[in-house]
Amino acid sequence: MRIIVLVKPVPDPEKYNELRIDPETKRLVREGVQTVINPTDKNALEAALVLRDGRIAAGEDSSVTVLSMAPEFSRDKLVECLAMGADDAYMLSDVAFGGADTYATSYVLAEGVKKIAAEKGENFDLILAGNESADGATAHVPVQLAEWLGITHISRVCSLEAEGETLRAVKRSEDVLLTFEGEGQAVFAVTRDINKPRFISAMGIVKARKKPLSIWTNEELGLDESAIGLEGSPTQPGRLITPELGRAGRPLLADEDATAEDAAKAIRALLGKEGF
Amino acid sequence: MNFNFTEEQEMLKAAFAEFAKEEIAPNAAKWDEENHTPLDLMPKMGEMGILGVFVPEQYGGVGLGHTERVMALEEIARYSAGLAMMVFTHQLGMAAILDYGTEEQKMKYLPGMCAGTAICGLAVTEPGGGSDVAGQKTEAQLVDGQWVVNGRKCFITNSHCGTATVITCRTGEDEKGRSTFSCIILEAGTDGYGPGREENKLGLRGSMTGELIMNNARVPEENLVGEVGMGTPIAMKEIGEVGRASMAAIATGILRGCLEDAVKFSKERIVYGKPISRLQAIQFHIAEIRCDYEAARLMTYRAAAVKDEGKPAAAEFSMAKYFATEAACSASKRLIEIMGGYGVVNEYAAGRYHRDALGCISSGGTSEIQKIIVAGDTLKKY
Amino acid sequence: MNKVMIFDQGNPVCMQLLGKARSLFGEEAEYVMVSVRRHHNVALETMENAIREEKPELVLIGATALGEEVAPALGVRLGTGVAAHCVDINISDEGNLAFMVPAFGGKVIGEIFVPAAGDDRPAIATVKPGTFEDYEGECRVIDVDEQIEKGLLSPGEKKQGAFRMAGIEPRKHTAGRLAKAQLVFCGGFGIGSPENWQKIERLAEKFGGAAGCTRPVVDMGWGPDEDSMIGTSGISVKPKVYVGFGISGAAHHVCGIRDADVIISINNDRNAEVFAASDYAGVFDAEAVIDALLGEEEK
Repeated sequence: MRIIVLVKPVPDPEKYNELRIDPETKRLVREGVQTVINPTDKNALEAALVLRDGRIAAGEDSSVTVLSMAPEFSRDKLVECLAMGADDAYMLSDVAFGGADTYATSYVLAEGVKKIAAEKGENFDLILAGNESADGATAHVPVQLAEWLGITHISRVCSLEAEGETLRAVKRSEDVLLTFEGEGQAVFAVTRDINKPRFISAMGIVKARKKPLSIWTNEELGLDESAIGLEGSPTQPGRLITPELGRAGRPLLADEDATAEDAAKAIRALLGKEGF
Repeated sequence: MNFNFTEEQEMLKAAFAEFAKEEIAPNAAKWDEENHTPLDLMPKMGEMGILGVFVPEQYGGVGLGHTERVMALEEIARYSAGLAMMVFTHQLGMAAILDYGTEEQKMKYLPGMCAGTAICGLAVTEPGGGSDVAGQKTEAQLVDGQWVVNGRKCFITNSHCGTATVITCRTGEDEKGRSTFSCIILEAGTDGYGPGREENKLGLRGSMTGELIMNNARVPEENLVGEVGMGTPIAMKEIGEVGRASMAAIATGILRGCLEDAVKFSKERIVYGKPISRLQAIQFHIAEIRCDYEAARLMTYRAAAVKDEGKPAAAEFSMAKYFATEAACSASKRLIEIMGGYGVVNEYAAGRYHRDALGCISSGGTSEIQKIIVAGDTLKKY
Repeated sequence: MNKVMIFDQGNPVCMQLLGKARSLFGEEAEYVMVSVRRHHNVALETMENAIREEKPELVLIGATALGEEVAPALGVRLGTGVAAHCVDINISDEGNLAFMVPAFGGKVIGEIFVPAAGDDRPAIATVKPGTFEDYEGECRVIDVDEQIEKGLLSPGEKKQGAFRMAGIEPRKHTAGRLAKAQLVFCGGFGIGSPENWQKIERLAEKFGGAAGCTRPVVDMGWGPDEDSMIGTSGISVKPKVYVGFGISGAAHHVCGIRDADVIISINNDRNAEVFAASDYAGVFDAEAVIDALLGEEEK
């Protein structure tokens, strides 16, 4: 089983409170906010590694390939994926890809998937991705990638199991759990509760040294510039604003020595006022 | 001169830090309070590659160096100096086997120890003292192809959990009539060999420290590590480099805990309507802790880098150990001062840092011993 | 605007979308609702056909599990742009539609324009349930379900591929209740334990509210799943009163409670960022206050 995992380097979601908009340039200032692997993508990678190892234990050949469209400076995030256990990695990196919305991004990724298949001389069986990225959080890319490739997509997958050749994916919707079964190519977008991603070990980091990591620019992909990047994006960004979330934040109790009991009384009083 | 970690080392540091934050940080206070040794973490640390990070791959290790080993210890000790004690003592015994053991010994012991399924240690100290190596009384005699060991070791880390421990024993005397020693591996379960009392320590709790008692314990002749009579140089080399590097790293981890907690507390604690971090008196404390941390870090990693270059690093490690452990004592005291009443409340880590820092002074040689080593080296070189 | 199409997937969000659209475009525009309460492959085929036939300028879709699967897929099939999880839709000074979409956990709201690109390339936007006001009104409905039942239409399954639905299991869920709750008790990382999460649930039960949590509580495995998670990637709440315990105030959570009338926050960290987004700030140990609230009730 050949598995491709989509990975996106994003600004550390723990630090979104530190982001601000420069009043002059109106651009996002992300100074001091580190880049990390999108958390849910780590769950996708974990799910892929478990599937792969299951196949290998059953005596089959299986591999996990990581694919990312990202600026070259985040190359080390792909090395992290290799250290976690992926077998190889491909990075699609070109200024021409920049400014893309989900439509143009998923197009470039789909072309990347096709080129990987061509390069390896064998098609993939399964593509896994995090259901959404922490930064944009549209949840579009896995679905749109599947559409470009003309294959099944199932998102919000909270459980994924293999039984022989059959894959069983459970999609969590608002009021039901939908179980899908089948074989053949598909894109599954997983949620964070599907598993707990493994730690990266020192052995993994050392092994990652020898694993192939290819960086492809548009020279390798050869895509029409009008179909990629900002130009290939059917949506166009406008202004950025930071919503005003501030409130008075007045002390619940004026008395500095108030106890938890006093606090509970004050809360009950406020609840009472609203009719609870 | 380059003071930066490589990209790979940065990745390792992040990986160790993540492990420490998730597996160690939430439990460190409980281990200290209950004096609980989290043995179940050993296989997990084995999987992480922490235990055998410096051991070549053919023996189940990762094949990296002491810089990376020190890095892991700093990250562990940031949250639990006690656990770091267990890890480093394990590595200390492993280092003796790796550096001086036979191929058979390495193949027999190191893979399990790298994996954390076997626990090692190095036992030198006796009731008569630790640094007085020549005064050791534990004795081993070769009888019918077996070492017969008798004696008592004390203040031995991993005493009650070690599965195989390297023990220094008197095995003869030189032409001048001075005792000579050898290193012998004793495995748990050997008749006549076992732990004695377990100490209830001031700090570094969560690591087991106690006695090992040998009463006509018989082990095969091939359990000898290195040559007969080489016990002292082996023990001195490993304690001097691996041991002191570890104590320096543990103290550096404690210093970072002091620094991070001092900053957090002083920003949160409001007195007279503003956070105490705005008060110069508090800022001076924070500046001192920062300088101590940075200096300890530089000395420790530099010593590790010297060792990784294959050069003798005993004096460098002594300087780092002396400076870092003393600095950890004063920084943790400063933290308690910054925190006022909260500093002595056990809900906060400040008191534990201070007890752990004090605990670091005596391990691997007291500050006075380090100064003697540093002075000796200095008088030779300058 | 000449025509707006709304996807009715059996969720009240479609009426909220109709209400919002009417408020933007009045009676000048034509409104049509495509009603298909089936799983995503059928819904996708149906919506694609309906758009090609009806040629709306704007398609509005509720950002549910189903809508999130249908909308981006339509984008690729029709070659058009999709604005995700709009918190508002405005008409700019130039008369263009500006979709306001959150990013970075809601810390930033960005304007997105989807320039019309041709007859069957409408702008598509998704909106989370509860973002716009409930609405009662009528419009033309294309009832696909009825057509399928009458045999006038066969459910398209062409892209379903090799995966078939093998089971549907109803789930105990609080998502709907939480989104509608008038009183919300919320636990953050600072509650510290699964036991305290249970206490939050008991509080909700006792006071007649709903219990919610933040991302770390889900990640720590203290009990609740993502259905109870309040924030931009979870549920947005708009209660009369929100009481938060041990919450630090990460952007993605704070954005999910911005529409609460009254926000009360309890955190022992005086500098917790959540206080700046609260009406009432209580510097107390979360557990102690939870216990006191429960205790008073139990007496």
